[in-house]
Amino acid sequence: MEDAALLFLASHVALGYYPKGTVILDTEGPPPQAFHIIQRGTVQLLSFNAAHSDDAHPVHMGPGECFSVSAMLENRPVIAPYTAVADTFCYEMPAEHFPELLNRSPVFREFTTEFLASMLRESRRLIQLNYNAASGEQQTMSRTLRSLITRQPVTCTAETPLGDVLRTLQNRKIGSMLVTDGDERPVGIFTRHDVLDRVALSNCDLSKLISEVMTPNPLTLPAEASAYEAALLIADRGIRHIPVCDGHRLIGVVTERDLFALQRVSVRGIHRAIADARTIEDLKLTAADIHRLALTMLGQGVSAEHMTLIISTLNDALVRQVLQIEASRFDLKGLSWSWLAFGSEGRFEQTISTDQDNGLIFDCGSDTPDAVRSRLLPFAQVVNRALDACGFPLCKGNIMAGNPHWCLSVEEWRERFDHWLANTDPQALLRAVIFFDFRNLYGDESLTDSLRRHLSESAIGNSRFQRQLAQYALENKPPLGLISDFITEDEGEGRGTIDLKKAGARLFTDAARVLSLAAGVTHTNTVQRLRQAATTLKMPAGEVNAVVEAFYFIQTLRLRGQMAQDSELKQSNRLDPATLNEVDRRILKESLKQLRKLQSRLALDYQL
Amino acid sequence: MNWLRRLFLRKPALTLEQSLALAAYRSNAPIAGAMPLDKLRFVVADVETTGLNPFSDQLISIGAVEIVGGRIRLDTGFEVVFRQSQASANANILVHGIDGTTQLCGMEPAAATLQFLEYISNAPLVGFHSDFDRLMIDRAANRAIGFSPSNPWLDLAFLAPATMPDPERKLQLGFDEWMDRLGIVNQARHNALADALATAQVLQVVLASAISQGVTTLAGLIRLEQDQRWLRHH
Repeated sequence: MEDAALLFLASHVALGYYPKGTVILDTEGPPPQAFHIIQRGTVQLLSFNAAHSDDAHPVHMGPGECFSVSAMLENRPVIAPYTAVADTFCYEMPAEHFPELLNRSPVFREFTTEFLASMLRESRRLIQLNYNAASGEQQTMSRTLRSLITRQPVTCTAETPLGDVLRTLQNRKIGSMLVTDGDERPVGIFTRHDVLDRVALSNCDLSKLISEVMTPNPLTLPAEASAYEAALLIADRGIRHIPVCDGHRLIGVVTERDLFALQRVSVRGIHRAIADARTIEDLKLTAADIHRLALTMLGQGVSAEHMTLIISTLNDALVRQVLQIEASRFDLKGLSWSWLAFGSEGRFEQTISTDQDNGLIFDCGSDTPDAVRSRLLPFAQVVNRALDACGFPLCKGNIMAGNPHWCLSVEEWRERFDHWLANTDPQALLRAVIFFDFRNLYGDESLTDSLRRHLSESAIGNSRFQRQLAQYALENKPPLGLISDFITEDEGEGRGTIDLKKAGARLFTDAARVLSLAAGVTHTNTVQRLRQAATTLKMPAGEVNAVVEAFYFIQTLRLRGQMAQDSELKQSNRLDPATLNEVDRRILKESLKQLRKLQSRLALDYQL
Repeated sequence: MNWLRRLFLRKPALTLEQSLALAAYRSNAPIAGAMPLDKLRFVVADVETTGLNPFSDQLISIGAVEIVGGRIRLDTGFEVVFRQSQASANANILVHGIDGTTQLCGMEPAAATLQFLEYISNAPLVGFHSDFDRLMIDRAANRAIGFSPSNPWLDLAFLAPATMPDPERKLQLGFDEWMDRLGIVNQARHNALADALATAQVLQVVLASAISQGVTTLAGLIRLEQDQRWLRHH
């Protein structure tokens, strides 16, 4: 039986006891109120005929068997009595849940008592399994490419004349022709879009061989890659067709259409619109498209893991395009600089409504830092305003590249970092928390790399700082209560709700930051930090996976909330647990328990 | 003077919320002795500990299930691991399978105790050789919150032979022997929750036998248990 259906069953049964001789269901009684599954013992059923004749052959039922389905479904008393002929224990599920169970699992009758009882003990583990299974089924984006391929690829050899290829494209109404060698290895691709550039506009001779006009050595993905990997490749490279290989052998082509057949806005469409944008006005439109895309994906059940990645990838592209457009309007010649992203953007964890948190790092060469800064600041301020126009509100704390405090040379940044690492005041710690999640978004990557190396080397040996950071990470506890399931805010606008960011996602992020600095992990993404730090710190894989799933679940709830309450941004991280269905409530509770476990671990490691 | 200080000054500090939880528990009305057995809510509890000495060993975990109206609720099982200041010995871990990390990462004792109190409410508590469970729980609760549960306890080690006399007149069957005799399968012996579930099944049988013998109220069941205790000791 399916995990989800079993879990449903296990959470809706009670265990009843019938001493030998008890009539469990009687012909005179009311319709059965419960569905009985024998755990142990024997129940005897006298068939209707047998009950009225002497040569009765009673039917005996033992553990694992169940009764009485038909009477219950038809809401009538049983035709013949069911009697316990030995001391009998029965699992009983109230009749009202029966249709639901039928719905969930067509094979539920096969289940045995053993499983049910052990489920109780392991219910905690199973809730997680159930969660994985449920999200796995929904996740169209985690399907393998193999499962998306519906037909044989249309191929030709490198020696095929161009004219033949064009005819095939036309007759078979396909978007691309794969060129393969004798071993079915893809050596080139030619798409409908290539026709315009390479054939029509260049007045190409149709008797040419396809090998002369095709795109050689196309990017391919293995059959076991997931749909979202393909989506990222499409977004990243701006390509439309991805040949899929099993080993070296071509087995099909996955297109953008296959991946986002149901979506109005496609990842690549947005990506291309961003790349084609020449003005900030153009980019404003694409920013709205990103939002719509996220909405569609959420509707399709794409997980938070994949969504935040896709949103981050597209936002990155958008910000880079803004920078490119604005940089061309300023004289930045001879300057080596890099645009930094901090906070959630720095961690690749952007949800829909995200303030900008950014800065600049530059190499001042033979100039003074102030001289270089005065050249970069006007540019940075224009970019900040442009990003604001594109839906990334200005940072309330003024952590923006246009602020002279955060437009610094490599040496200045290092000094800041050293200061925060050496100081014990809360202000310095707060800075560290925000700024240590930085990454390069645009410009000279070697500048950010050297800063990252510097930070990693200084933090790994600084146990006082780590301990302080751990203390900070433990300041807030997950909102789990004693009397009620959840502790909700008891006053103000957020009354009756949980703040999924402050009391949820952020606590994971804070803990992951400590672990990553302790383990020397340079990644900024929370999940990557946890996974990589776990290897170094020898945390069991199962434990990490549970934490990661918990984090993603809370992120998914945040995204859901942000979509639903689009207009009230300040409420967007708030969730009233009472509005969740039973399953989600339990998973949320379980997720917060995982968080508590992670915090306990941190407290133990740092003796807090 | 240490013991004096312990006696008078060591009042564990509870948070406001914890005090409220404790107050909520204490405001439960005691259960009436006239309550019919087939309507009562029982909580069957089992503990795992660092050893068998109730005065020096520590409580590691409590598992519990409830019986409502004669039926074991499988959807509301209770299990809590008390945070230990140090992990118990390996030989002990092999008994209950709660590893060192789990012990160290367990729930803070006051919170764990209050959760247990919230779960049991005013239900009579049931165990097998329950004097041990009771001592362990009372001592841990006293240390954690300065208060121990006031619920009545019923010991199946006495109630089972009282309601189901052994034909061979062998007076004292152990837990495992009762399980064998009643054919109860334990999914994970020495897991507090699994043991509680198995014990609850013994209670179901005991309740059915008691009712068929005319003992139908809680007061009657308590009297039956005490009579059997007396018998055993004389």
